[in-house]
Amino acid sequence: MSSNSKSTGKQSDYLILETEFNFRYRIVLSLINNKPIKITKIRNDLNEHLNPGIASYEIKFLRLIEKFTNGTFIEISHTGTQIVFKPGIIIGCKNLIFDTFIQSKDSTECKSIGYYVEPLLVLLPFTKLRENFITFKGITSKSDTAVNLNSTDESDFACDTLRFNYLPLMEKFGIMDISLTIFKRGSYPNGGGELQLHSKTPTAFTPNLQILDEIKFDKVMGIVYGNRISPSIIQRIDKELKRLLGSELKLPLDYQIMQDQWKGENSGKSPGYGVFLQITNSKQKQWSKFAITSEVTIDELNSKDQSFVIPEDLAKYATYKFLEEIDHAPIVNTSTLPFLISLLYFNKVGNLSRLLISKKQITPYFIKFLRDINLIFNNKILLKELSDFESTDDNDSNNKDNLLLVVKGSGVLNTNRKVT
Amino acid sequence: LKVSKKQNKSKKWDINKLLYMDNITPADVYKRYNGLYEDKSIEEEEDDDEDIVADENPLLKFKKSDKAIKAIQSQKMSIDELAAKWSDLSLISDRLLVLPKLNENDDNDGE
Repeated sequence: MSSNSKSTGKQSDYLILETEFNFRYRIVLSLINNKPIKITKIRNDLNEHLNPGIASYEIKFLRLIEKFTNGTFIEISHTGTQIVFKPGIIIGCKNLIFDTFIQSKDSTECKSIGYYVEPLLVLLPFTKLRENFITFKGITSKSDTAVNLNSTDESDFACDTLRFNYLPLMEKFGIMDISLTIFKRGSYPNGGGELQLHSKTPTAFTPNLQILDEIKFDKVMGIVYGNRISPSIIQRIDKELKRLLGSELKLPLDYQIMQDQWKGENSGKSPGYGVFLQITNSKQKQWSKFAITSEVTIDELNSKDQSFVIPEDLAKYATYKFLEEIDHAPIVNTSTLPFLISLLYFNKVGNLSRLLISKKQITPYFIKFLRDINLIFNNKILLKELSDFESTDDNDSNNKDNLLLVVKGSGVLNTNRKVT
Repeated sequence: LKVSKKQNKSKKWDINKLLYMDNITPADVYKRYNGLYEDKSIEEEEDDDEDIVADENPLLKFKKSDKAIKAIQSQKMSIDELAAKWSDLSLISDRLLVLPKLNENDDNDGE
């Protein structure tokens, strides 16, 4: 079975894509480019999948898209292994309350709110409504995202990653009035969290980036959060984090670790705790919106990996994972790249954006994403070796590990607003 | 997709050609680009008789490629391995913007 996507073009009006990979981005990009797609072979290998066909969280996502748009046609085949998606008009939502929670014993069936919010952020600059206001209910952060170091479409980001990594990037491109507020934290399995997304559709939106050098960072910020757990767990994580960064690693930067304890009604229905770490550049204004973040969450009662239940181990793992991410990412996290590239695609026609990425960031899932975006927009993203360019820097060793990603703007405009 | 043994080992793949080729899976692109790809059929290129055996069941090849994605995905370092790797910050020291101390900055007071 080839996992590559194929386009038949003449045979039907649909662009035919295979397998369930990049499900959310395929739907979102199809909507923006107004290109009908047909996704086939969704978990159709019975040897690998106990539940073949479209997953319940993907159906939930399609329901959200249905509410967010007008005139969208979705048809799921009898077996669930094939869907037809005909995009409608992106309207937006003014007062939508969307419950993302799925009651399931299988933890992979239940995604956190981030899974639904991330692709929606790409759609926000294209809505017909001037203002969008959506309340999400469900799980605010979930543990299985934590242990996965590689970026996959299945990633459902915790809310802090979205707040501190994604929203500043959108602000960088002129989408200023956007906020994500946590009202309740909820963990797996019972959820109970609540998140509000508020945004104003920008009048001008021309994402353009020219970053040819690695960003240097000077400030570390951390949040140790927990809901429905003993405060001593948070204090132990906090203490261990400070010990690691301070006395053990001797981090020569300013660092600030905050404790975020949730109690009572606002702490959801299940206990959980986690660590969020972020490194930014506070001195140079042009880099201030870029951050490298890392988040590790534990659902206390349901963690598969018992070694991380000990707070000190969690602090250690979170710190090492954070350092790995800094080592791998010259500009932004590996998991943020599809989001950033999607935005860069909406640059003016012919305008080039250039972004430095690390060779370590080219994962199979990233390759799948590049292939999909090429099929939907018919616009190839090119990767160039830095050795092709004349070296102006002294850091030749860095150049060997990095590539230049060149994105040509597709000139997609918010035609939904122009109609009214 | 057949390549010479030398080309495979030199790791000088054109990533743009690899990325958008139809007959190669993303997992294979990843492996070839990172020099991890071990194509047995290439090793057996010299022995013509064995080459036919290697291409006998192409379906098996595809299955292996799909499994490779999972293998790559599950490449996780244990906490001890991570601790050994990050015993200090030397690997990322050039990424940290450390301002020089005032005493050391005396020579550069001109500007």
